[in-house]
Amino acid sequence: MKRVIVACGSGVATSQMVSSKLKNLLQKRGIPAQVDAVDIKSLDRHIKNCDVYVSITKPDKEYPVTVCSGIPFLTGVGMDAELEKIIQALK
Amino acid sequence: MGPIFSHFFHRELIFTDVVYADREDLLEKLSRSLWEKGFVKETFREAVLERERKYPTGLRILPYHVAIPHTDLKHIKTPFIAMVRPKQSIQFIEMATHDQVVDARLVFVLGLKQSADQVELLQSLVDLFVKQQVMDRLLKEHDVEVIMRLLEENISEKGLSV
Repeated sequence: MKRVIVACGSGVATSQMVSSKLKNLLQKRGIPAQVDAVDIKSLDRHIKNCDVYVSITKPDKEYPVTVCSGIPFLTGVGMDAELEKIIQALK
Repeated sequence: MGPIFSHFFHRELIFTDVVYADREDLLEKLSRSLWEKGFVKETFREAVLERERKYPTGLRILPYHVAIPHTDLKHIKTPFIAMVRPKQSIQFIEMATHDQVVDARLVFVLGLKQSADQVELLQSLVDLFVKQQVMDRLLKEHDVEVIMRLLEENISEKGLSV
């Protein structure tokens, strides 16, 4: 199964919330994917086995996977567009 | 008062019309107060300041910009959500940027202890941020009881567990 990781600074609060929201949205659209909130400190380890990285911090380097923003899922602003981007990357 | 609501929100953690020099001043003063009241460990102050510098928490949300400072759960003793209404808006850096400034009118400091259970609470808080009428009142009410009631009425406990 394709895997999405969501990371924020502490792996608490915001990444948990975004991953739970994203999980529901993907489920509603019938897109099978595993969504996990991870701690930014273990990002390099997780990035190796994921397809999309949803970032709630400013990415400070290039990653070999699709990088999307988690902020729209937090605030609701621009959420549909970002969701489409994630869905495309999961196809 | 619902059990979840009263688990996180406390009268003594509603701060209205306080004058702060800047966001670090706000976080310093609030950390001191949280520590004196027994909600956080002494390490919270440095941890929340550091975290805000590295991973800022300003939210460009409408009708009013807000900030949700928080840090690792190991610095928390008793779970809480503190509401700070600075007399003048305070500049925070927008989440996921290094340099975009947002003028936060309200600051909710999150002291969550277990992350998984509290997703709904955070979602509920963000849902509150976009309610114009409630936010308007949160920005001008002076009575702490009224503010507590407004928060309680607008923070749904659906699906929450402590």
